[in-house]
Amino acid sequence: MKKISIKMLILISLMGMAFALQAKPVAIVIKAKGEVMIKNKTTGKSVKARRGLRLNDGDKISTGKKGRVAIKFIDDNSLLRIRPNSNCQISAKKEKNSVAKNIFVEFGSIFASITRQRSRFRVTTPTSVASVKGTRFWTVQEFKGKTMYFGEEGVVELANDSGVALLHSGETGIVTSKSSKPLVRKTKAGEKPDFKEDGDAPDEFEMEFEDANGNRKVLKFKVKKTE
Amino acid sequence: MRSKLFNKAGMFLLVMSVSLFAGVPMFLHNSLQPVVTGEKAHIEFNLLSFDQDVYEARLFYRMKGEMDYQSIPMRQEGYSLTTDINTKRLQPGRVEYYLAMQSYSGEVYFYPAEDPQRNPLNFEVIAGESGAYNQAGAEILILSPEPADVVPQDELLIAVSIPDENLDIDHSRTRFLIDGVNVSQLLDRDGDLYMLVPKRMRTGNHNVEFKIFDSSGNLLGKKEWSFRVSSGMATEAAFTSRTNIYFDNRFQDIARVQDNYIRAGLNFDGSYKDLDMGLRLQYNSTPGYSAQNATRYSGLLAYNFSPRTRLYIKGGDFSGNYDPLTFWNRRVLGFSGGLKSTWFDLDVSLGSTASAVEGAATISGGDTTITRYGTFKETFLSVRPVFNFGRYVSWGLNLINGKEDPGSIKYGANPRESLVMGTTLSLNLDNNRIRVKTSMQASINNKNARGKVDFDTLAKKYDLPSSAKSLADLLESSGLLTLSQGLAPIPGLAMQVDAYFSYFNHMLRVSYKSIDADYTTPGNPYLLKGLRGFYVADNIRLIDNQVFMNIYFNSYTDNLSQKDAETANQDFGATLSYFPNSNLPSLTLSFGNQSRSNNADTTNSALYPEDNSTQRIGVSSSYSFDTGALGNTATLSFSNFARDDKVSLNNRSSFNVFSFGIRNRFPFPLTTRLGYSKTRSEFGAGATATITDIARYDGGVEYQFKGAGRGMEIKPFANIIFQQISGGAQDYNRLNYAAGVYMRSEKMGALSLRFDYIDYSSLAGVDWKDTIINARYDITL
Repeated sequence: MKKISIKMLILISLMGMAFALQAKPVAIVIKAKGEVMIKNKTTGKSVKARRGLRLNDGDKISTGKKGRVAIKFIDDNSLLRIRPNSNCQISAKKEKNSVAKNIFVEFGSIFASITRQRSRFRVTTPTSVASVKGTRFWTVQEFKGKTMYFGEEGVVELANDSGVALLHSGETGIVTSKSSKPLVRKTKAGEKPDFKEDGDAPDEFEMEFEDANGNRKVLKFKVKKTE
Repeated sequence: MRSKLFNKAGMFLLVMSVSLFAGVPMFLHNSLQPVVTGEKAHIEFNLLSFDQDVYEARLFYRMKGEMDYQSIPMRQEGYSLTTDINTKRLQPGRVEYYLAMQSYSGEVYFYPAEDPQRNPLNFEVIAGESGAYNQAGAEILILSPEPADVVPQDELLIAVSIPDENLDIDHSRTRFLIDGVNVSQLLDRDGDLYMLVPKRMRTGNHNVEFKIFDSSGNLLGKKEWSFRVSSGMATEAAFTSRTNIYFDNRFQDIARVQDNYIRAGLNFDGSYKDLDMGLRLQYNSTPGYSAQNATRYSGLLAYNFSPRTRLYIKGGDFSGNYDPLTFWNRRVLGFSGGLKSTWFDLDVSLGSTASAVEGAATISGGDTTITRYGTFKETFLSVRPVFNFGRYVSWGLNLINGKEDPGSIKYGANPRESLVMGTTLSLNLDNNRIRVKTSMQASINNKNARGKVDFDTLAKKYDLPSSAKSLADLLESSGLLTLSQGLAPIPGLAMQVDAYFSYFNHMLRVSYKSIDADYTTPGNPYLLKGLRGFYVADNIRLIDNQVFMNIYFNSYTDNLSQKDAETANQDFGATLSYFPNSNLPSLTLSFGNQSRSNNADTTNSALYPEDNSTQRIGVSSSYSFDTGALGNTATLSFSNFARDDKVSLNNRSSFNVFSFGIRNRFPFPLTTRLGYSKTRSEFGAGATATITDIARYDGGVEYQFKGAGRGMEIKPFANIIFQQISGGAQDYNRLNYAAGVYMRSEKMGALSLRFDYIDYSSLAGVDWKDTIINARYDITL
């Protein structure tokens, strides 16, 4: 009896040790510029974003005046670009065979590129929800104001309590408040955000030449990027 | 002492091997329940009684009908030998396997002990869902940089992820190469994510190769891509390293005999610029009966002139990997050096395969009687140049030489020598659709290298032409062989040709193998000899990869060492598997027939007459379904073996095995398992027949916390197996509890604890309550 009790105790102890849980990374920062802070949901601590930083379910991302960050989701390679003066929170819940993702945009501009159909991807704002499966689009949320969506590829379903609308490539969706129905129209020139301001470094590379006497010269190339 | 105690274990026919002789290992092995394709088959042998230390243990396995067994190393944790077979790479049907184990004295032991290649253990692989059968490999996502991307120096991040959580990835085998240079030790892993932030990379194009392997060493997935780094300075390679330290302790109380076993080790990998270095150290607490050195050590230095050109030297313990007929899984203590390049490879290995251990003798009245034979020191040499003609043709030559030193001990048997020379040829055509591998070897053996004889004596004995003298002189002057009375100058031959054709949804393999019984290579202690024949197998994919068919026909002769009892084998069969794309049960049907016959004289007790055939039929199914949030997989299997023997009624036998299992996956990471099987075996016929019934009930629970904490992984588990054995020499029960936990943290390392308790009841005269506790700590710095 005593032996059995000890064995049970060992077993229970082993099982009990397993309950010391914390979150598992769901995304990774692949690029960060300017002031970008990540606030951990569990610890409440904020750290400056840097490439390679892992993000967990519930983490909040805020960008400063010149802050920009690009993150990728680990399970399906979905890309999220967050532009300056933005504040959002990522949620990622494990479902049967995928991870359901929700990006809550409190304010600011984000670009989402969802390349795979496997998982559920949503962008939620104070006014509406955009449900996505395999597409590229922008979300711009004004501080305590309206939400604008810009379709680049595929179809996005915009919904709130007042109605549903489908956003296609080249269209703009506008949701002025939670109680107003999403409206969709053609995108006007100049209203859609782009990446020109993201300030990517120029593409430069070098080639080194050496002559028979061992003299070396370096030739530098600058490649001009075109959209 | 331990062996004597375990003599009583002989009655456990199906769970233990039996030995009455000291030094011969005794194993505890639970037979495997059917495994659904895609799951791993966990195979475990517990070494209960063995006076020596295990140098290496390997599991040999093959699909029924295949010619060759594949082998994978078994992990040694105390007295447990474990491994996992990745069934994703197998077709449904019967998998045959056996254990081979080499002691430090070079002796090889098998389980099953008698003729394991022909009488292997087996288990059933049942077709699963369509997606589970995956030859293409695991999915690897490239997170950064995108293929062909241009990345500024200060934004460089190389990251990949593996979304499939169910893969059995052995992270220690993960390979990450940048421009052909292995930088795996720099890789940072967090759950499914692998990444590297290089401090600097030279500007220009770079190639990245990422490979993952399972615990059996099988490639699970591979990704290769290129990108360009812009605007940077030349690479200033720094010193990088990875150090792994482990400590392993096992305590066991089996049949009231207690043992404590400690093992510890260090693995170091580092690189400086183009120089790679490695160090392995292993300490064993028990030096062993054989007094062979149980502590292993090895070091490696390699210089990479380019991604495809590498010069290396390694020292200490290593084993070769030429091909099975020459140098394969043989431990050598010494040095190995070589070159690998696009056009030419060279490997030279030199050392010893066994240390001298003195025997024992009694001297009485001037007569010496050896009471225990010692082990000679055996020196080993292998040389292998290979010429590569593009990626299509490789042609190699090889020389393998092993010599036991007669002067190394006083009391020993006859010292032996052997020399293998031969050639290999590999063809790779039509983008790997046609592959041909050939190895042709000849060996000359000396079964007693003591003393010397002149060539004329040998020539007279073997009727050799005088022209052979120059060859004999050459061999002796080179020091490869001794001209002594035991030299057999007529070579033993070995040849193997494998051709693979992959066309029109067929994967056809045609092989011919011929290995003389007296062919001996000092480089492969596991080689099966004395056989000759053809082997044909075809794997066919049908109906959008929903139906798979495997058919095979093997015709070969074995037992070539006994001319009067050469045995003809005809082995044919087929397996048909249905992997439904829709939510339907899978189905596997299999059939096989194997016959063996020879013309051995039944009155000659030295020969073993055979005339028998064994028929096998099997049907199995698995079905995955959800009940609410609960995911379930049920398996059902029935198989029948019937052996008809015309030589002796006592050799007739039949087996019926029925099994049922169900596995439940909860919405939280809990998996439970329940199983039942009933086996009825009948040996002999008529009044002498003995019937044994085994009922087995098993259950298990595993809670898997992947991502517990930052990089923390915790897996507690508990299993129970209850067996009722009746109808044999004695009825008895066996109850086996096992529980443990595996914890791993990026920073704190990995700790695994396992507790086993085995209770035998209703067994007259025996009151065994066996306990095994195993702990292992492992950290990578």
